Amino acid sequence: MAALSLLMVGINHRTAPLQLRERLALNEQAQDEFYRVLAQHLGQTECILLSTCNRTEVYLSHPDQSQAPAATDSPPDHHHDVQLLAKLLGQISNLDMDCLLPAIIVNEGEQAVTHLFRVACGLDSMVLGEAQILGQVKRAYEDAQQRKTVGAVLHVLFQRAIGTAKSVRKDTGMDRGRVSVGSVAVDFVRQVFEHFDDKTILAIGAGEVAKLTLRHLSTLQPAKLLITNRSLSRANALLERLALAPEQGEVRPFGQLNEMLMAADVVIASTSADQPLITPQQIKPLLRRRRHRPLVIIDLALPRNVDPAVHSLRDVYLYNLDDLQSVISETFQYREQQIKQCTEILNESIVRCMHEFENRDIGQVIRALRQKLHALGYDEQKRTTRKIASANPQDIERIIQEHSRRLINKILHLPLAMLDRTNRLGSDRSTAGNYTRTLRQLFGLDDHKTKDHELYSIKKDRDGKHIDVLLTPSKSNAPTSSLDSR
Amino acid sequence: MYMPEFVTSILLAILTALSLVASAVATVRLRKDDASGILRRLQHSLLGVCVTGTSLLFVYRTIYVPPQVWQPLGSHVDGLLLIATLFATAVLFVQRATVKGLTAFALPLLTILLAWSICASAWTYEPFEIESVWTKAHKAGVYLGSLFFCIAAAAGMMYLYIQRRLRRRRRPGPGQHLASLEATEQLIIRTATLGFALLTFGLVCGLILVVDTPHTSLGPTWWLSPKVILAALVWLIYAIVMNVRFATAFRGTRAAWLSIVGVILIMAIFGVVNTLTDEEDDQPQFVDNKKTEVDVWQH
Repeated sequence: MAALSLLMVGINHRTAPLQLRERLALNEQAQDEFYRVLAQHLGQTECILLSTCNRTEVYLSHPDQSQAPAATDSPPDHHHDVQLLAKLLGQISNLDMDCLLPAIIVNEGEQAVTHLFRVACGLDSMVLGEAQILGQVKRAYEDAQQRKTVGAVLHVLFQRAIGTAKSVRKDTGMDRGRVSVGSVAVDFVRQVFEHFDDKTILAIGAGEVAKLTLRHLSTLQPAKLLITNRSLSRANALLERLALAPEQGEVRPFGQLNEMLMAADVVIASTSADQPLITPQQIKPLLRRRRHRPLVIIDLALPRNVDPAVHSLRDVYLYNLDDLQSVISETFQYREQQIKQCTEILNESIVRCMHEFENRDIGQVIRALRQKLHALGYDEQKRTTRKIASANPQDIERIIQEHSRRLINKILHLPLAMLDRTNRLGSDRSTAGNYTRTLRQLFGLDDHKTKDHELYSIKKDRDGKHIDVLLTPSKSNAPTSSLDSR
Repeated sequence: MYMPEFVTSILLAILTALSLVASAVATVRLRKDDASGILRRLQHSLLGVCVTGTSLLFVYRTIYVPPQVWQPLGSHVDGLLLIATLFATAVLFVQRATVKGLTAFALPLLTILLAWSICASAWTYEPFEIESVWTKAHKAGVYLGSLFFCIAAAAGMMYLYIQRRLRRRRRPGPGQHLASLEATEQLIIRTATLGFALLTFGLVCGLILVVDTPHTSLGPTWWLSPKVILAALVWLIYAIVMNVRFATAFRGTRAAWLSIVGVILIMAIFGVVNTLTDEEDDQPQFVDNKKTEVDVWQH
């Protein structure tokens, strides 16, 4: 059976530092260039490029190598492909090969299958079990389909990987839970409020933390987003970066903090102030004026911007960085507990996928065998026809016998020679035994003893050469003539 | 043994047991992660069986209890059965529509209603005198109002649970996903408003009935009877709950507690006043507290 012609070459967050990964994260233009150059070098090769911020991987399969029955079970030699892909990635990313080569990982055959399945399930991700990678794998597959670089092997591989990743997520809840401070903050806010089209979010501070958290909160589409900061220019810059509609966002001076706290439903505090900006004494008089509307405060600052005693006030819910981090830790703990179950599902799917490839191979082997035998038959038929045309009528029977003998010899030559060689070498007894058993099974040799109508037998002459001996269908079974030595 | 009464009690006992199991499953689901979804399916199946079972029991009583005995609100057991059926169905609808996780808090209440109806069926069967239109309107208003108060109470329990979790800074939804405080409070207000309207209607009808009765069994000082005082208290509670938008001092936790207290008081009116008091003077609407369904049927 032919070994699966599948190769994966790439880098990921385990092998390459961030500087290298960002250079190799190929944009659409670079991907176009990659596919174009690859097609020039490898022609009809199946190829899918998966490029994300944490990995750039190329999956390659040669249809000719996958279809042709190989002489041995050894995997195809991909050395040339690896060199080519590494060179190509280096060229497109303007990277020196000395930097790139140590980070390159290569997986072949079943290893490549396993790798892709793990990637699609998020088991190979930097953030264990993250869900985005499945979408990225799907997009890479769809993009390659549009470019017509997906054939039978990669189609099956990616379809099964995507399907398995979905069932892993469904059965184990691997992608459940939140892994970023912003998303946990959103979850806490959503436990208090249902609708946000009448809610106001107030951001105190305009740093990077505020930006990331507001990005998450702005997905809730609040009615108003207020930003306040001691430096109004930074607050304005943050508002611009959030790209909100003009009536949706507003920057206000820090001095209006109390008025803003009156209007706000959600407060994000992330300034570098070393004293609390919000205290119970400050909030308490506001609560009645707020008509006891709930107020959620997310304090992301260190040192804290909000006095912890605020949490004890009625209708005020305060969460600090520790609260959010503990949720994230729980999520990771849960995901790590699920790894064993994920791996079990994954292993079953990989075995099924490999069987699918093997079954697909059997069909190809049968087709190739038939083609080869028909070609042999055709050659012999031409030769015999030519001989018959110029032969005497009394020679025709001999020519037909010769035709049959030659044809059978040609068919049996390669398998029998290999069987004999394996047997003589004696180094691999189990292989020889396997061949013998397979031949017995395939040709039904156990079903009956040698019969009269079996015309040929393989014997050796005195020099050790193989000779075919014609056995006539006589009652005595005695050999009547030796026709040809091979 | 009179079969409809016996079958009713047995079926109610089975339904109560199933509802109790469903409540236990729902409680586990609130605390534990149900990744495989087995608990969710089990809880939904049990609730489905309860809804179907109470509906079929209601139909059974319609068919097999003699017409002179059975009317939709002809006895306390039928009233409770009606509330239980409608309550379970309404909770399923509300959970699907807006307030996720409500069944976990409604199931214990459903169990209490069903357990109460066993008591009303087996031990304290009370056929009502519902000849008068005012009595019919009074019963319908009070029972259907109670249905909405039960939903409000379930939402109130849910509100307190979510708030407790938020106060303890627990991660949102280790197990079942629950609706927000805002959605739960909205449900409390809406159901309290509907229940309040029906209760007001029922109480006004009851008032007319008492005033119209020449020799009121509640006595000349009927307005001081426990039933009337408790009913007035319930009315006041729900008047506050439905207006928490304006009476903001009562919003949130206080409204949730009030909705629970309101249902407890209604149960007290149903149970303590209607069921356990056997003085005929206090019970103008009832034929005879100690009669059984068999007695009424034979009569």
